[in-house]
Amino acid sequence: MDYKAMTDAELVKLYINGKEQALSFLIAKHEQRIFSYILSKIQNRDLANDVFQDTFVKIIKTLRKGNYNEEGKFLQWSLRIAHNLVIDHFRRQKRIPTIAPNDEYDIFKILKDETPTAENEMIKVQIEKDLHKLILLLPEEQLEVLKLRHFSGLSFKDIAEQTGVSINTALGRMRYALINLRKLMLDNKVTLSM
Amino acid sequence: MDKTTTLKDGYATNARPDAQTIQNILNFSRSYETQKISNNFQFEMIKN
Repeated sequence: MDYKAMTDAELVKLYINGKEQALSFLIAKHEQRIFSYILSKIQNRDLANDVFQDTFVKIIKTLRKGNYNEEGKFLQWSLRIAHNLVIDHFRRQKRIPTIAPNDEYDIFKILKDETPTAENEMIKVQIEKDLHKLILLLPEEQLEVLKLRHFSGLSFKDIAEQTGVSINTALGRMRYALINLRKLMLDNKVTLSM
Repeated sequence: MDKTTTLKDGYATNARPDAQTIQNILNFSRSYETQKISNNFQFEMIKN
């Protein structure tokens, strides 16, 4: 059977009657016109391939369902389907705007993933362990103020009431606790930063 | 008004789809089946 010499109408008829090969010839005959049209509108090769595929999926479904009645005008009909799918594509794009990175602008330089890496997570755990060891070396009254302030979240007024000292004493103990912590860090060569 | 569409560089008018796209279409065609059960009922099926 010489498919190459056949008209579109003949190829369509053969395809409807189950000759799969006729579809290959229809595609080969018109792929350039249809794809170029889609690409000229969408200007993105990957998306144009998607729309081209959708166009032929629609063509196949229509032919198989016996709904095709434009004998002799297969190309014009296919281009109309492609045109409608291009419009659908732009409608979708308008509903869900996308930003593609380029040389001048990359959205991922602004939107950073704040999730800590496994390495940062390990360093954080180590810092907490080191800090805990150092805190336990502080004098009892400073340790108490530090715990109430940082771990219990109490105000200095509440700390003063709870420990039975003045606010100034509580503030002073906190100040000395921090000074001593810095000293302990230097003495023990501990770095508490990532 | 000039309605001529000028294609950007790289978007030649003789462009063709990727071979994989053609293959996808042919695969779909081979697996697609439709059957009319009555005048108002038709079902579609994708074979594996």
